[in-house]
Amino acid sequence: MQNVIEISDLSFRYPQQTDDLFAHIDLTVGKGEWVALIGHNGSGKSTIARLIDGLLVPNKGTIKVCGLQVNEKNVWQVRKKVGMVFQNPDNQFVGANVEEDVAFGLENQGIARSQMQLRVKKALKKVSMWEFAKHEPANLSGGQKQRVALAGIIAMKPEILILDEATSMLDPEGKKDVIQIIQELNQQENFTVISITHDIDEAALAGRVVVLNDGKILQDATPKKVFSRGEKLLSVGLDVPFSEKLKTALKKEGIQVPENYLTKKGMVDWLCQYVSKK
Amino acid sequence: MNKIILGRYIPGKSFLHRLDPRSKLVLSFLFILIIFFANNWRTYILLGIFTFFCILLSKISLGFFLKGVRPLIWLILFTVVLQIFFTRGGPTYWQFGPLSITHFGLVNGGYVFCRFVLIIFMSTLLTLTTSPLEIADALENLMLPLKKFKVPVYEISLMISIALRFVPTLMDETEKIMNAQRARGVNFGEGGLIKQLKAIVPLLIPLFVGAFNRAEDLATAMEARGYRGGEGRTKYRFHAWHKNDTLSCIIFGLLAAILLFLRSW
Repeated sequence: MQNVIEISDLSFRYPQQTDDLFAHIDLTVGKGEWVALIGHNGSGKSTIARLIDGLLVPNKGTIKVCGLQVNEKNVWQVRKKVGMVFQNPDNQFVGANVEEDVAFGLENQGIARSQMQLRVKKALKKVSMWEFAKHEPANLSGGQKQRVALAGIIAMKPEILILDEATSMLDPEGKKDVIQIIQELNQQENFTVISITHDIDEAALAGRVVVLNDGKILQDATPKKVFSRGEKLLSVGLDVPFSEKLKTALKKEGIQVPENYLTKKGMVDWLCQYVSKK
Repeated sequence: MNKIILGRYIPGKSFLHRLDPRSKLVLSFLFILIIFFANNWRTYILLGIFTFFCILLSKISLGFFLKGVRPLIWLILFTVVLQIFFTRGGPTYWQFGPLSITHFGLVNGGYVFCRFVLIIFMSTLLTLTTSPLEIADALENLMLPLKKFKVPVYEISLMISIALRFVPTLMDETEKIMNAQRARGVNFGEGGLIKQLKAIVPLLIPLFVGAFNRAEDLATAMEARGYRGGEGRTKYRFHAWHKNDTLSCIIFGLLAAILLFLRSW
């Protein structure tokens, strides 16, 4: 598997800080992977995303995106390859209406108008927002705005999609929609996805979970491995998925539960087996 | 806020709605200019008929235009009354000290009234049939020659369109902050002047801070999507000059010619 992001020996601190936010971090992400970056507030998740996109400059270390080193010379090349969706749906809506917002990134790349129209339509259809093309942001829900933000990125055809807590301000319904679109993009179109999230159930969908704690990578493994730490995750300020919580509750009732992590479906299967055995 | 009709846009599909915003903007400006050339009843009747014809063409009910005049009616009446009382000439009908009502005064008062109403009707017609963004586009287009004089036309137009896009968002936020502060016991619009001004502070400061945070988020998002200034950008929004635009220019030219003819006749 080809590496699309290579971070080596990365250190960073904000100018007003005295301590490094993180030091000597190494991380590589392969093409087509879906990596969830989790950690408590202030653990530097969003900062890593901004460093990858060249919005911030590291104090030490190098970042390579698709073989290009992120520096002043390459930064615009890098930004063509990386698409970012941010947390607040309202504050990243640039255009006056939906289709113009989707076209904004394409305008910046100087793409011809006829080509733009095609791409905007395709991207909006992908997130099923085409019938809203002429709507103004004030008339859209948060989930719809976030879908438009995604369409704006899809239209630019990046290779890497970074979601910086993109679902955190949405209701459960909007969250489900956005996550489903991301899943499709990752599986069908081979987008590399890096999702930064506090939502443990969202992280459980990723192929790989990276846990950040106090400026270090605590664990970098499959969701199965990470979540089988169960209770220990709580000590670094993180939550556990619902199936883990259920297991803990059952354990308290004196029921023998399997030690390894189970997905929701796995948990249902195990419960069925357990009940029928009785 | 809903009372203000000036600057509101009513979506529609009439002849005027479909005109190119550039021609609309320039023509309404020129119309206001030629109103000042009118100097007798014939010319004012001509302009009045033309304005009425335009209003019919826009398919917007006359009520909206009358509402547009309403907030300015006192200013208009004040000016008209001053004209009537202080213009001398022709037969005098009534006199008291420096005040007098003369034939000239009455005629001039009538002209001033017509001028005001026509100007307001025309500018209301422009804003009712043209969305704010179209006006911004038209301004950008018309400002393009200024680029030679190093005026940052693209930046100004981006600023205008972002400002317009955030108007409803910021209005919502203002409403939210006001309600939040009310819930905590701030009384808006009550008490003396000083007290009222003091009540605005807990509204203004959070609004400013919010706007700064928004600006920062927006700038980051724009940069992440590859925005690097106006140069080398293409435009998604596009306005084409149609036959109808040429037609309206010709009609306007005719109107101006007839007006100039009637003026000296």
